[in-house]
Amino acid sequence: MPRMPSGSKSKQEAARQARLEREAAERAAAERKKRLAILGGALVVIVAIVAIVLAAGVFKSDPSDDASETDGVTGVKETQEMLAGVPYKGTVLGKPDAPVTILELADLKCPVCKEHELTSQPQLVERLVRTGKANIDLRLVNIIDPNAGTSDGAGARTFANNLIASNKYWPFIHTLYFNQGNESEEWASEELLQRIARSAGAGTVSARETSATRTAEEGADKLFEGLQATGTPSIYVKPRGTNEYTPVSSFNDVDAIAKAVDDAAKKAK
Amino acid sequence: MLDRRLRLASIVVALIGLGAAGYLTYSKYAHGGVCGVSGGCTVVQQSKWSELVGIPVSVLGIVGYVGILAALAAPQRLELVRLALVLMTGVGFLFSLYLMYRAYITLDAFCPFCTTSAVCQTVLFLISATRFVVGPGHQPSLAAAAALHEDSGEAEDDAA
Repeated sequence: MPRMPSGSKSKQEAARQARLEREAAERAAAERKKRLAILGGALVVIVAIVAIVLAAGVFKSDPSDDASETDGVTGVKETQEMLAGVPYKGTVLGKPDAPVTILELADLKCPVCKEHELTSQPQLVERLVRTGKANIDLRLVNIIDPNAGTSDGAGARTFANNLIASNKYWPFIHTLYFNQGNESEEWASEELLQRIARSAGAGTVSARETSATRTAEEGADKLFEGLQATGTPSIYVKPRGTNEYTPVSSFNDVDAIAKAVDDAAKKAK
Repeated sequence: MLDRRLRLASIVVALIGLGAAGYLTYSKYAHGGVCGVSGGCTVVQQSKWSELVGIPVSVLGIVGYVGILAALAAPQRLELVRLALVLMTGVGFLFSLYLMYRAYITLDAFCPFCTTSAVCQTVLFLISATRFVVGPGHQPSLAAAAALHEDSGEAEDDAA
């Protein structure tokens, strides 16, 4: 077979090569265009999926969302219902001579304490406090402020401790949790605290530190450190007549607390 | 070659994200969900945006990363696999964006592990979208392959 002159052949080959490359490029561009269109459709689907999830409001519900509001204070009615007929004195809710004391270390700015106070506490009151099986000793610590760079938690704690003597500590604290703000913000203004105190039946409350509030704070801090608590809420059960505190790790498990109370009751003196 | 590198990068990023989501899940359960243990992450993990239909979002994150890794382990020539990657990482990216908005704007909290996961989701989405549009690697087209074949044949002829 006669061979073509090499110059003509290479020209022809170059043209063929160029054509092949052009065709390949066109094919690639067409494929890319098709994929871009599919990607656009996928983006629409993605946005739709996320929008449906967010619009469905399937995030964790806030226990204070459905609470009643009285004179700009949320949860007054619910607090009254929980405490109705239950004795409380100072920091203790329930019969002072109950066989078991449930010690709760809480922070007024702690959102988990709010969850515990508004969801588990009413059940604990019904099952354990009203029945005389246990009382609840709620002590306030201040651990959120140092973490969040705020200072209103300390003020709120002092304010609450000023209500121990007038026996409005429990209604104030329970109502306050309904009105809790964002832990990283300074929401616990004196104006709000006074409003909540009024709703709890207290008059104008001093927001200043006194020797009594210092004693209460030192007592709570000492318990927190002594029991090596690492956060709030921390729950312990203590049999009557002893100084034996047993931690209950599942603070949001009412059954677990009830069981711990039953166990502790056997050791009560 | 580029596609292989991007795929490898995706695997590394997904593993980092899985680690972050795993740590967040561990800390949520190990610390019993108490306040005051790890600052910003606790704030975010105790917020109302920390659970979706009762499932912690960090657990959903783990499921998502495992799904992404599974898709990355599947044959990458399948367009459906690449599209699945785009969809998974896209949903993860957009959802992370929303959670970052809630963390930084609504809660004003800095959670390094949540942020790490969000960055991973962003990177994964960008890589997945790029890989999908570019296509499955630099495989020569049939025509180009034929030209290559002829070229090599002629070279052999010339040598002879």
